[in-house]
This record gives sequence, structure tokens and C-alpha cells, in this order.
Amino acid sequence: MMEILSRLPVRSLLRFKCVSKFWEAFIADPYFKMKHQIHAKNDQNSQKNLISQMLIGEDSDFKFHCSSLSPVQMVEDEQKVDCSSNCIAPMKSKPFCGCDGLVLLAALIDTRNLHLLLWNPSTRESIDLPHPESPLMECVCGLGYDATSDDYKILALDLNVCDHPNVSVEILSLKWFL
Amino acid sequence: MASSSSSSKTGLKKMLTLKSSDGDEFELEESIVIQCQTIKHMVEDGFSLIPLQNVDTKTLTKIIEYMKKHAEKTESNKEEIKNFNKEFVKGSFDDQFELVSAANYLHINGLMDLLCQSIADRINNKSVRAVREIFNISNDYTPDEEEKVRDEHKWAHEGGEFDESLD
Repeated sequence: MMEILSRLPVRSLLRFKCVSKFWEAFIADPYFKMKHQIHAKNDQNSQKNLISQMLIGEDSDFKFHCSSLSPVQMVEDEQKVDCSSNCIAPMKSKPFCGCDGLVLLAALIDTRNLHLLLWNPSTRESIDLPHPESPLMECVCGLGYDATSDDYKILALDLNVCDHPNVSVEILSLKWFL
Repeated sequence: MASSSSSSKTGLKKMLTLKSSDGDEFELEESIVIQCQTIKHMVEDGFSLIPLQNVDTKTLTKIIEYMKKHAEKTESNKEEIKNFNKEFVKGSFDDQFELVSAANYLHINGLMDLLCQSIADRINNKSVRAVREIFNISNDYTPDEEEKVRDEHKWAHEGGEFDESLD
């Protein structure tokens, strides 16, 4: 069953959580998720390209589009990624970077508060991360996987060196945070 | 190793016998059968009659058909193999499940890939109800519990009709 389910797209898997309690637990299991991720990485048809588009206008906004990298279905499959359902609806957002299908972005949640979000476009889930000590506006952030500790880490670099004689670097370990 | 070099010297093909759980015997060339890792290991251990207690005659016939075709694989008949594979996965879900469990037991990786991908593609757009029927699963959720799980990923249930058919 593992072999069959690990070949399904995320959307179908989330739907099939309703099949039975066993399927729900099976699909949510970290070992299955790891298997699924390994499979998706090796499958050309599930490679996706995430495009962020900035609309300059009255409500200069960011929109995300997702298109398949598979040569057979290049542009036709392009679809809008909807990050509003099941997560906080950001008014504006600026992606920093991605890693293993996760996207790190700075998002304006209400008119004043800039949040650091970790977003999974496939499951449409996102988590609100703690702020770096330096103001987010002045930071560049990066996301990477650390194999030695089996952990995703986020690095925030304060670019505003005029105020600080030393460049400030902060690292957040997701394992520790979650 | 020793057997394959001696057979090429003499020109004689080494034969093996596979025995299904129904007791039927199939004689095949060793070069065809070694696609299957489980049998390959048994051949290395010196077996020439291989009893397969978990595989019935109907399933074994299909598996042999697959192994024979794939043993012919060359650079020039790729298209032919592709068409063969397409036909091979057309059976009922129950037949496909029998084949998956046999391919898994026999460790035929190529066949395992082919079957699992085909089943995944076939159920991808099915409704939850259809998937329960196909896999013979009884719903152990109360209506409230099911509603709750559904609400956690509402978007995955939206966007068009899902296929209710069972084939």
C-alpha cells in the first residue's frame, strides 16, 4: 500500500484521509511522508515551478503561480496557488527562498505586522515563525536542510550594517521550534 | 556465476521449473526468471524447482508473460514494450492487487513500479467512497469524525466531481 499511495499527488492523499482512520494515520505518518517526498523528488512529473508575481497597482500584491516542470505539460498546467485557505491570508508577501517544496516568505498579515512564514504550497499549510531580533524588513532569510541533525534551519542576516558594527546572523532550528 | 558461463560455453540453456500454489509447473529459461530477485537468490543457492506458495496459477501465468516480454527488451523495441505494459495493467483492481502482492513477494522491481504507478493513476481522481469499495475498506469514522477530517483539508475535496466508478 505504501508503494501505491506514495505515488499519489498531495491533494488526493489529503482527500483520502477520509477513507478510514487507518488511512488517515498512515498518510500522516512521518515515515510515509518521507517515502512520498523521496518519490516526488525522483518523479519528473511532480516537479513544480513556483512563480511569484508582483502586481503593481492599487493594491500592489503578490500572487503565486505554480507550473509543472515536466516538458509534456509545460505551460498548460499552470495554476494559481491559493494560499488563503487553511492558513493565514497574507496581504502581501515576499518569498525569500525554497527548499524541498517548502517556501520561506515574509508576509504582511494585517496592515502593520510583517510575519515570517514557512509555507507548504502542496498542502496549503503554513506556520508563523518567531521573528528574528533584527527587524524583518532589513533581513534576508534563507532556508536549508541540515542532514547531520535531520532538521530544517532558517538563517536571518541583518543587512543594515550601518547600525551594527558586526553583521548580525541568527539561526532558527525548526526542530527545536516545533 | 559458474552456471551461466558453463551454459554459454555449451550453448545449452539452463532451465528452471516454477510451481504455483495450485501445483501447476512452468518450465522457463534461467535467463528469463532471474529478473525476479527472490528466484535469483534461490537459483544461486542451487534450486532448480522453485515452489511459489504465495502465487496462484492465474497470477503466475501473467507474471511469466511479463518476464518473457521484458527479457526481450532491447534498444529497438522500446515502443513495443511500452504498448505491452499498457495492455498489461488493464485488468480489474482485484487482479492488479494480486499481481502487486506477487511482484512484491518475488521482488520484481520493474513490475512493482509499473503496477503501483498504474493503480495510483487509476485511483487518483476517485471519490473517497469509490476508494473504500476498491480497497474493500469499511468506513470506521462516525459522520462527525469524518466531517472533521474533511474540514481540515476542505480544498482537497473541492473543485469538480470525483469519479465514483469502481473500474
